[in-house]
Amino acid sequence: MPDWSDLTNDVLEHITSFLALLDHYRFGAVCKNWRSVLKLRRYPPAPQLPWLVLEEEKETGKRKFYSLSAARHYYLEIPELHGRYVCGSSHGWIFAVNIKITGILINPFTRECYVLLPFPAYSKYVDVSSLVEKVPSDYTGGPRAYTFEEMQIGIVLKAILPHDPKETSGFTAMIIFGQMNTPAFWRPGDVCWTVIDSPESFVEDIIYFKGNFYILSPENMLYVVDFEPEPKLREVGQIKVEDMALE
Amino acid sequence: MARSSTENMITLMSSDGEEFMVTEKVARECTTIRNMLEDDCVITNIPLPNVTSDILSMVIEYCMEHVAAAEKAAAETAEKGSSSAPAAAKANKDLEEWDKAFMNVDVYTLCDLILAANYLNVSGLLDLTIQTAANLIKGKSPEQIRKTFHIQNDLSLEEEEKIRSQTPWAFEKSE
Repeated sequence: MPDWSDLTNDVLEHITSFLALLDHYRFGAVCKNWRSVLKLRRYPPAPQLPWLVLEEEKETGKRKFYSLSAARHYYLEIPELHGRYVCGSSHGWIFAVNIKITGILINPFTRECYVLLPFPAYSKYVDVSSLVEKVPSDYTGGPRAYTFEEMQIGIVLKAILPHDPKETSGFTAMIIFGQMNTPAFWRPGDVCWTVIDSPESFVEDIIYFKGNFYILSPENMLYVVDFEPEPKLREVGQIKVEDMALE
Repeated sequence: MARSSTENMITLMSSDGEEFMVTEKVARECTTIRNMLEDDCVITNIPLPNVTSDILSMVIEYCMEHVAAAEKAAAETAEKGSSSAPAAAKANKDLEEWDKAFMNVDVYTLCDLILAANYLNVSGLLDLTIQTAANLIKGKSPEQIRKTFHIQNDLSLEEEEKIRSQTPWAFEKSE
C-alpha cells in the first residue's frame, strides 16, 4: 500500500501549490513529513480572496488579519512585522515602516523580505534629526518637533508594487512620501530612492495601470511617470469631474 | 485510433513482469521515456521497475486518450484549414469529463498514479492527480485529512501543542 505521508517533498509541495492559505496551515498539521514540507514555504498559497492586514494584537504581538471569505479574524505570528506600520500591499507582499522609519517589503507567507533603503532625503521636507521620542509633557501648543511615532505613520502615504518581486526581479517600488506626498521609486540594485521631479508641489494620489504609474494633483491634473531619459512627470490632461460623473 | 503500419511500437515492462505494447507516440507522452528514446533511438523494450501492471495500464490508458484527442484536433484543423472554436471547446470539455471520470479511484490508486506520473514525467497526468489530491484536502480539518488519506498522526504532543498555540484555527475545518 502506498503511503501518503511518505511522498517526496517535490510532490507534496506540488499539492500545496493548489491550496489556499487556510488549507496550507491545516496541511501542515497532518503529520511530521507534511509539516516539514509546509515549513519550506517555497510555494505561495493558491490565489484566493485576499486577507486584510489589521493592527497588531497588543498582548501577544501577533498580527491580526481579516478573511473576507470566512468573515472572521485570524492571528499570525510574524516577527518581521512587529511594531511596523503597514502602508500598502500587493501581490501578497506588504510594505511596512518601523519606528526608526525603515521600510521593508515582506511576503508574510514565505517570509522573504527586502529591507529598503532609508527614505529619500526626507530631512529636506521634515528634519529627521529633530524627531523626538515623545511629545514633551509640558507642551501647550504651537509648532513642535515630530515624534518617531507620528513620522512612522506619516512618512509614506501610499506604496505601490506593480509586480510580484519573486516573478519580476526588475520590479519597481513606488511611494508618495513626506508632508507633500512627493513621488519616489526604488528598484533592486539602486543605491538610493529616486525622487521624481514634479511640477506640482503636492501630489494627491498615485496608481499603477497597464504598465504606467499615474499621479493625480489636487486640481485633478493627471500625470504619467516617464522613467527615460530621466524620471519626470508628463502631463496627460485635466480630469473633469463632471465627465466622470456622466460615465 | 488511426495507426500507420510503419509506426514504431515500444514494449513497456511493468515491475511485475507484464508487457505492454504501445505506439512510440503514446510512449513519448512520458517525458522519461521520450528522453530515453532520444538518447538511444533503437530501444524497443523498456523495463519500468517502479510501476506495477495495474498502474502502468492506467497510465497508458491516459496517454492513449490524450494522444487520440490531440490527433483528432489536428485532423480537424487540417481538414477545415482552421479549427472551429465551438468544436475545439467541446473536444476540450469532453476530455475534461474523461479526466474527471478517470480520477474516480480510491486514494491508494491515486497515490500510485501520482508516483508513476512523477517517475514517468507525464505532466498532464501529474497535474490532474495532484489537483485531485488537493481537492480532497480543501476545507478539511487535519483529522479529516488523515482519515481520507489513511495517514497516521505521528506529530509529538509538543509539536501539536506548538501548532495549537501559534495557529489554533489550523485544527478547524471550513464551515
